[in-house]
Amino acid sequence: MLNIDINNISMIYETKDSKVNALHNINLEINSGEFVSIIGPSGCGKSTLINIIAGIIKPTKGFIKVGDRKVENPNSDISVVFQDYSLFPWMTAYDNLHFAIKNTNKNLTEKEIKEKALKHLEIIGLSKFSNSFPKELSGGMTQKLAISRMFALDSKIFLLDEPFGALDALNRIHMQDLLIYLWRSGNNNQTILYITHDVDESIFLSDRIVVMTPSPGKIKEIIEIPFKRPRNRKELTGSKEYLSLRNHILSLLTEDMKVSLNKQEEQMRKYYD
Amino acid sequence: MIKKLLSPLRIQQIITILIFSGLLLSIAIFPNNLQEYAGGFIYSILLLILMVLLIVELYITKNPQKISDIFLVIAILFVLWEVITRFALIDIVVFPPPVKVFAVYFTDYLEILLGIANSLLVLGSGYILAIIIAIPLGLLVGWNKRLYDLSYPISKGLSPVPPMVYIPYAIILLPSFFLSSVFVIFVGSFWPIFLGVITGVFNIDSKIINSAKTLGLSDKTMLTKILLPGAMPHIFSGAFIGLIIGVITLLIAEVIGSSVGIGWYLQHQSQFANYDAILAGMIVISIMVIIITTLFDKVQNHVLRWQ
Repeated sequence: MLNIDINNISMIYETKDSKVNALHNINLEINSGEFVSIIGPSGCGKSTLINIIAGIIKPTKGFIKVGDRKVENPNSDISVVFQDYSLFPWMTAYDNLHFAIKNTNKNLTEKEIKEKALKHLEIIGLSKFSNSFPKELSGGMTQKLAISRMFALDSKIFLLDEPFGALDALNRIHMQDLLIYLWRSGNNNQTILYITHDVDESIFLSDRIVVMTPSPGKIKEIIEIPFKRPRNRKELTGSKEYLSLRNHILSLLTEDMKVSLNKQEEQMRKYYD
Repeated sequence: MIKKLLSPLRIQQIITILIFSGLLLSIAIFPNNLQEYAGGFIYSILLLILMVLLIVELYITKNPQKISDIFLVIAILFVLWEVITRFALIDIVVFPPPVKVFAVYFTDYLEILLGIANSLLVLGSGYILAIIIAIPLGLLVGWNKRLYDLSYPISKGLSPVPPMVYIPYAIILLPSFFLSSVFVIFVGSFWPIFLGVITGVFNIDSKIINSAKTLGLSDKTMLTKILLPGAMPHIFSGAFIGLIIGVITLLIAEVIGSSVGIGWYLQHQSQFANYDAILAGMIVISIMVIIITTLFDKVQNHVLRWQ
């Protein structure tokens, strides 16, 4: 169990003739074992933030601490699932698991690695597909495998960047349940940071929701989700509390949209005048 | 039932078989002398093999139309060859009939076989050497920005230089003609493979690289288990170009300075204006190239089966 301390992070992308302020003074503390969602329109720097926490890119300013360790490079304490391409397309389902387990747990024997990989395939019901390549699996199966690989790594922190964004609604619900099931059934409750643009998904999954706004990307509001776990999707979505939360988040998000739409309108008017 | 038996595809196959049989008959009817008997014998064996191949392929293939088309075209080419030479539409000394060309295999088979063996040995050595050196080097250069910045201008300057340019130096500096040919083929195949590896590394999706980075891999694992397979599609396109350049370089090198090999055989025969032997040699070379590239495709399809 590890907590994440996001300390005054700013990220500026410089191109030849412009500066893009992707993130501006982000401060956030994520407790160990907590499930936090980040929601916001595209361009608010969500993915940049995940990449910084994972140590893949270096921030312009500020630092990340995971437990007592300052994040400077990718480390197997933290594992990441991206919307697509998290798996290696040249490895079969089994090889993907085997490779990841082998490289993150250096002290396991070959037999233990094998057992672990097969067990994880079984949990997600993909035993039959152990010799299939990712291209031979459906989108849902691929993400199942990516999620299962993440849990197989025994990392303390999971970062998920819109993992179910490309799935249809039904598959997405199924995957959310699987994610929560795997997370809660593990013996060490991992800390999860989850990026999404789906309001319902964020409420159903998280303990807290961070709403971000674009240009420059910054935190607008942090919302506590009061619902106890295990959550029942049907009861939850029918409740008044849920609806008011949902409306609140939606209005936060659309506010920005209105602002940016107004800006666009102004610019257009200027242009035509 | 009859409709199924006489589908257009079936009719096409029957016509092909009939053409082959007609060609066989024409060989049996027209031989003039001993040399043509020998040539006719080899020619008819070839035609029989083609017919058997056609029937066998039709049983195992998933794409009978493709196989039927290829064999029909081969049959038509043979007919054209036969017609042109029978009626002497082109001077038959310059463009001899099939029986004469195939007779060459009867008289020169030892020279030709030894030539092929020698050529394949030279080609294989140079090409495999190029692969062994270009792939690790390309992976390192593709991965390391500083190495890339250093070697890109160099490879840009050197890669378009035709490998034949090195022949005089190779002959002076290396102790045998074998080693010089291997070296020249190595140079010819090296650049396309090397550049293919670099392009391959650059074209690996950054998400895959990031995903690999989060696993905390060692440099060695990163190179061998992620960059190498990830770059493999481009490596194969580069390696194919390298192979073709290797074959061309081989033939030119043999024509210029060798005393063995299939290229030398062609050169040697053309000095005596033996056009039947030249045609026979050309057929051998194209069959050799077809076999090599087919094997290459097989390996490629197997290695890239995940694509």
